[in-house]
Amino acid sequence: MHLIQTIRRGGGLQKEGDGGLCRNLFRKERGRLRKTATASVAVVSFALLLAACSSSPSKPVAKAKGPIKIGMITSLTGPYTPLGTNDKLGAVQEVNAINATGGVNGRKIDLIVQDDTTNPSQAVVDWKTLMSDGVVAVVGPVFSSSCMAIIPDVQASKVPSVDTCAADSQVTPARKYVFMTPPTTLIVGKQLLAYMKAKGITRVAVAHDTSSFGEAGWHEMKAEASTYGIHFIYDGTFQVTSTTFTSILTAVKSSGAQALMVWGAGPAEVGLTAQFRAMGLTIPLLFSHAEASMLYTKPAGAAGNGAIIASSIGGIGPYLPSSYPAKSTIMSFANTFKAKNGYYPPEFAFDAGGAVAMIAKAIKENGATPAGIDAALNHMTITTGDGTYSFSPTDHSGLTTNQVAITRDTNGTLVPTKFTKAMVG
Amino acid sequence: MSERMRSSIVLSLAVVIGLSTLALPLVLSSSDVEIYVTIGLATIVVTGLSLLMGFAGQVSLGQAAFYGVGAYTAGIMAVHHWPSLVALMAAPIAAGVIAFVIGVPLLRLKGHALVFSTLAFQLILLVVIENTSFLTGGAIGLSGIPALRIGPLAISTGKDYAYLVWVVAVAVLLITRNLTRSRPGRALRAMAITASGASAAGIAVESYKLKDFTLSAAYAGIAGGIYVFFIGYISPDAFPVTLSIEFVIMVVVGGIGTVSGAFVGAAVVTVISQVLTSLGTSPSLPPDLPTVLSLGVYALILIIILRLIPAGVVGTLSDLWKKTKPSASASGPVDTTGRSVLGPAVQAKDG
Repeated sequence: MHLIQTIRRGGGLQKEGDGGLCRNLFRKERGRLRKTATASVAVVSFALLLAACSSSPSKPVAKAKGPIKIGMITSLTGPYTPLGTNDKLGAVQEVNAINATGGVNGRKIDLIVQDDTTNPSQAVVDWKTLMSDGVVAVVGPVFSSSCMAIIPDVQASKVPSVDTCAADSQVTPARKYVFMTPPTTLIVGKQLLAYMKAKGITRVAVAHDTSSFGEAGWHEMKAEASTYGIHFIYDGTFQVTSTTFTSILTAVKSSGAQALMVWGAGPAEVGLTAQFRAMGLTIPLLFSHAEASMLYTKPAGAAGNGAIIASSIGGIGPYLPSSYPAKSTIMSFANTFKAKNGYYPPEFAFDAGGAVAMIAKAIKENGATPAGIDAALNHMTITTGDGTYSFSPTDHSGLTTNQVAITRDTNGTLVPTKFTKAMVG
Repeated sequence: MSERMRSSIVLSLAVVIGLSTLALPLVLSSSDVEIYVTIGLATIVVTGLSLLMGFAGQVSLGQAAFYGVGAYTAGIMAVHHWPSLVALMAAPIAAGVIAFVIGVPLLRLKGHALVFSTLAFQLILLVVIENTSFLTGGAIGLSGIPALRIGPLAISTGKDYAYLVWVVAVAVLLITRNLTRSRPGRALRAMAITASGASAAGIAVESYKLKDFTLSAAYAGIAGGIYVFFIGYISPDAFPVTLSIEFVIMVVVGGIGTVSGAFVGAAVVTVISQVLTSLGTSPSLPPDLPTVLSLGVYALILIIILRLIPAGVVGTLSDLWKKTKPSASASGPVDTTGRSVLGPAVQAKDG
């Protein structure tokens, strides 16, 4: 009853209120004037406050003699934190090394880092922030979706972005101002297929997650398989967050496959490895370069022992012969990284450090302007921790299968296989 | 202070906020305009969620799913050469229709069961998107979404989107304000206190819940539609479960059951998270600091806000404002919708 009265009272009151407002026209007019005056004063005060507080959109272009501003977007929070954190460590190390030797063309590098929170929308905000800061080039995101999301802004602002994410689609076909440092899933897939062929493996099962990386890797590999005489006889799908792989592994076991190829990035692969061993599977277990670091080998532990893992050439630095062209670059970077952080650099650190090195080289050649850096990058040949790149206007990835190593997890260390030893000489 | 003076102060304040938010895109830097648009989009979603939580007493942890439905609807139509305005208009319709269909069984659930079922809906939706790559681009995403055009007008810059979002957010806030002051609004508030009591009073409880759920999803849908044209690329990563949780946090920080609380909650939470995100990124700072700031400090700020002002920012300010009224009394006719007698838990503090 009380409820009904409440609801009815609501309707009644509205009428009372309306009547009251019309009671005195003069007072109403005076009230309106007061309102207008209050509003005007407040708007002007607020606008002045904003003008004082907001960062100026028209900042002067970096002075020719000040530090050169380079931006960086990476994932320091969210699911890609382990990748982004190592990205940042690698980039900062390279910047410090350049600044310690006098900078580029006599100017120090000022690295401005933005966190995309593993969120493509935030990456767009970050890009605009960096443009407001007047950066001349950017070490691009490690998160594939962030890389794809910023492409329209990269092209609109005409500032080159050397991305550290492994998304082939950003450079296939080559887009203006967009470059990438990790090996593409295409060349990694090709190298794994070549390894399988060399080992006499022809019937292969695949398990891939539904991330953009897992999907792209699997599709690139499938398209190339026939060239290498490989037949994929089973295709199992799992989620990035999956923890149980029994159905996939049971199917693999009964399929008669000679090897299991896994495409995916994240903790799921660790669980899959443990269950693969627990089910008594003895066929070779192959992974892409996403597992080529202690971020996989450490949690996988003994179960990971014997797994075949693709890696950038930097991952096997200590095993490279001293005659190998990139050896000294790799070990110089790796030794500094290990001394400071206590572990051998994962690929993400090499990727970001290499991106800084490329931008620095471009500045040295063509000056610290976005157009100059872009022009230099388009024809650059450079050796970094990831190997030797040869960029061209139609190839913004720059690496070939010769820069992809096939390793074996040996008690937590990535040791090159005979296949790779033969390749690096 | 007389009643007339109080109402003119409130009106002036509304005009000031309205005009200053209109002027903001002109003085903000391009990255701040992006944040402005983010706040505007969140305001639209949170207004719907606040309507659902504060008025119908339903909690949805799947609001980002409807945001995603709107975004994918507009994105897919746009890449298939539908006029972009038609694609944008279809976004709230698709989100509303899906909410209506799944709402029929879901809204039979109550409390935690309802919360988890909305969460499950979002998780299922993400899996569906990832596995229908022929339509959605799967996990790799959908790129090449053309710019939004309204007749001859191309909406392309951040400022353009800032004004578009402003117009839509104001429209959504006004619709909601008028709705909560009308018969359905009173019915919803009655339901929030006691569904069985409301039912006994002749209110079609299930029907109102479903309509409210549908409307809140449509709000999220239009926000998603604008988002996809604004970013120009879409992937399931843009709609994580944490986004749904953030929307709920915005509702609580702004003040459950307050219309302008949606805007305040969206603005406060977005600005805090932006400040914390940028604080820890300096190259000289430890690499783990951003995680500490984004999880630890963010959580601490939220706990402090909720401990000190459990009614939310707008709820608390509204209470303080009421205390300045000399003739305020619990039983008196304090506002135009009878809210004062509904109890503090579900009061619509500002309409």
